Amino acid sequence: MSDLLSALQVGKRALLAQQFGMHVTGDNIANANTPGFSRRRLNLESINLRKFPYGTIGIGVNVESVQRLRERSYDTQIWSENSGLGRWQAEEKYLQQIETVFNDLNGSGLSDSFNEFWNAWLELSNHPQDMGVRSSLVEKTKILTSRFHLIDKQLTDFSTSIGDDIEKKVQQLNDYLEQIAAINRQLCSSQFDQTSHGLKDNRDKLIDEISKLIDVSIVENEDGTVDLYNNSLLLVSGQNAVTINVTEESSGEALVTKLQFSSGSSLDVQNGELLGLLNLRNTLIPAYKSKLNQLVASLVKEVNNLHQSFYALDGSTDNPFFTSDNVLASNIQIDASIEADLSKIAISSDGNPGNNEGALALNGLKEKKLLANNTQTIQEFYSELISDIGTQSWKVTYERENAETLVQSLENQRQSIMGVSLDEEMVNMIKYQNAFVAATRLIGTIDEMMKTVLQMI
Amino acid sequence: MRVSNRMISETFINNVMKSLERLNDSQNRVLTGRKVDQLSDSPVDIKSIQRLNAELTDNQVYLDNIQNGIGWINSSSAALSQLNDLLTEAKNLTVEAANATRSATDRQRIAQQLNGILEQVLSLGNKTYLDSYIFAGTRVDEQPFVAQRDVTGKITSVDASGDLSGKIWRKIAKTERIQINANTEEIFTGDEGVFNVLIDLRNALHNNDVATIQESLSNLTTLQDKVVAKEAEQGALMNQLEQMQNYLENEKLQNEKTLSDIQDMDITEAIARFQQEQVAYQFGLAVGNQMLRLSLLNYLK
Repeated sequence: MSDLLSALQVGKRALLAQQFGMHVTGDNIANANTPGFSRRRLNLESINLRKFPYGTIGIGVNVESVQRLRERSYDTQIWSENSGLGRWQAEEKYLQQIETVFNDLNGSGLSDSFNEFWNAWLELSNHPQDMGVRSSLVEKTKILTSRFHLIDKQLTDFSTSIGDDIEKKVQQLNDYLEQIAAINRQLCSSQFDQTSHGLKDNRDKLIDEISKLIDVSIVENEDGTVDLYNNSLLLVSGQNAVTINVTEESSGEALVTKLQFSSGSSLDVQNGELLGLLNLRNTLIPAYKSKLNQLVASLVKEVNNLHQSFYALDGSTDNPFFTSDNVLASNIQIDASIEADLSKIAISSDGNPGNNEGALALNGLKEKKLLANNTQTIQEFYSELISDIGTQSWKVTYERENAETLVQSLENQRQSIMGVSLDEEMVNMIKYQNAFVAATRLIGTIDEMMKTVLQMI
Repeated sequence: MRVSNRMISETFINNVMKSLERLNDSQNRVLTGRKVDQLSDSPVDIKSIQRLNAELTDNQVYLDNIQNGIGWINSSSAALSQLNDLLTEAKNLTVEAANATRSATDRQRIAQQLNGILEQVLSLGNKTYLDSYIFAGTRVDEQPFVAQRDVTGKITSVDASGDLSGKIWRKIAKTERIQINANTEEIFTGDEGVFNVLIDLRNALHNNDVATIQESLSNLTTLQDKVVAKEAEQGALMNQLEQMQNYLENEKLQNEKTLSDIQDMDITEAIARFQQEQVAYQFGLAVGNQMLRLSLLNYLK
């Protein structure tokens, strides 16, 4: 009779284990589409306890553990590649816009305004006294200067919105860091313990997000918490997270955006969206602007030098063509006196109205190598600038595509381990169902056997 | 490798997206007809494209300048050729007047005719093209030759105002410019100039001064030689302009072709690529449709 009773126990344990298996399967199915979810596996073991004279037999099944299936090495690789992807994505997003600003290939860019400007001088050389031609020169000059203003303003706007982006991303980063510290705290509290798979899934997903923003590495502690590092600097230390601030420092003439801890020491960002954004704001855009400013400065200087050496229709000389104080791409302007009185445009070398030497000389500036230590014409200098931008944009897209492929393939490998397969869960479901039915049958049979024994009395 | 459901759907989405991106790109190529439309499409070609575009614009301007120059030179050539005819006429009259059989009255009549020639020469000297005096150097806004007349309206002397030696240039190529106005001070001004010679001759005819009349003949011949030389000079300039025009038009065609080779898409190739991408995209969708529906569930009762 005691054997029957213990067999009944075996049946009971089997029922419980299969029910539990059904629970885990249900959990997996429910989370088949949850991002960051790692599938769980029920680990069962048989219990060998009872010793009979003829040997030991098992007395049923025991739930050993629920295991979270995840391969840490894939996580680490993804976290490092994610940073690259984030960086190139951020740079690509803005470089494509910058590229459009400088796109001259469709005949509406700065190059065309320049061609029009130079040719207006030549047209003037054909009709030195014609006020209509003079006025067209002034209009074409104004189109050229407003092109410069527009490009400069668009670059400034990009810089501003990149600044906003940096603020937002840093806020997000601070938020994520705090959430990780909070999860670390929960893992240490009595309510949860190391087997809190959901918490860990959430935490790993947060690290996925952080790794897009900035390069991070993690160290796992024995109590289940993690520490987060950016290079050698601690971002999350156990239950505490740092706060990162965005600051601006002036370096030379330019403002440099930096990330700092509240302690004052700076973050050394090596990768991630934040690196891309900082790179754009601190390096690339200022470089493009400075090139434009060089171009403008040289244009204004050379045009004015020549223009001032010729005589205007009214006999005056030494007239500047552009306003010449502290000229930048943002403020280049035709001189007010020229705009007010077209006869002040000075192109005559002898004071006679039919003399067009000045107009020819000014048109000739376009062939003069004025820039880059007198090795490039204005056109060549500008072509090189936009070809640099094109190359940069091409490179960034290329890198982004590479990083994307890499992250996708790593993600596939990771999903291969941690992802839920519904087919597999269906099979598990049938498996647990059948075992459950069999266990009930076992209990029913034992019940009948016991009844039979009782009827004997 | 174990395949999870997320992998299948992610792979499907990624591939379809990539395929769609390529389809969109090839559609763009067909629509714009260009293989280089954005700077990043081919950074190495940007410099060439910009240089060719600039050259094409410049070429057009040089061609316009040449047209304008041809106008000027035509106008001065015509004036010089008329001057030449007038001088021939004056020479014939002089030969006639120098003939010993001519009477003083005959010479008076010839003086009348010569006066007419003098007036015509004056108006030739003040000829304009597009409102500019063509023989006035760079003082194109002022009449270069002003006649002093006596009470009967006869020209007694002609003053040349301003600087007739000023030069007007046209740029006709990147490194080439050409003077389009003829400097004619040696023809019009000075004691040997056409005005003084004609005035002296007319006065001599009036005065029946045969010795001076005969002397004038050689002066007229020298003058005519100068005019012919100037005419030839203008003709040579005209040739130079026309050659440059041909050259520039050729270069323009060349540049247009090169630019098109760099920038434009071969349209057959573009359409073929578009169709390829379209087929790839449709296959992707069809396969995904099959793949995503597969599940053990379909076979469980």
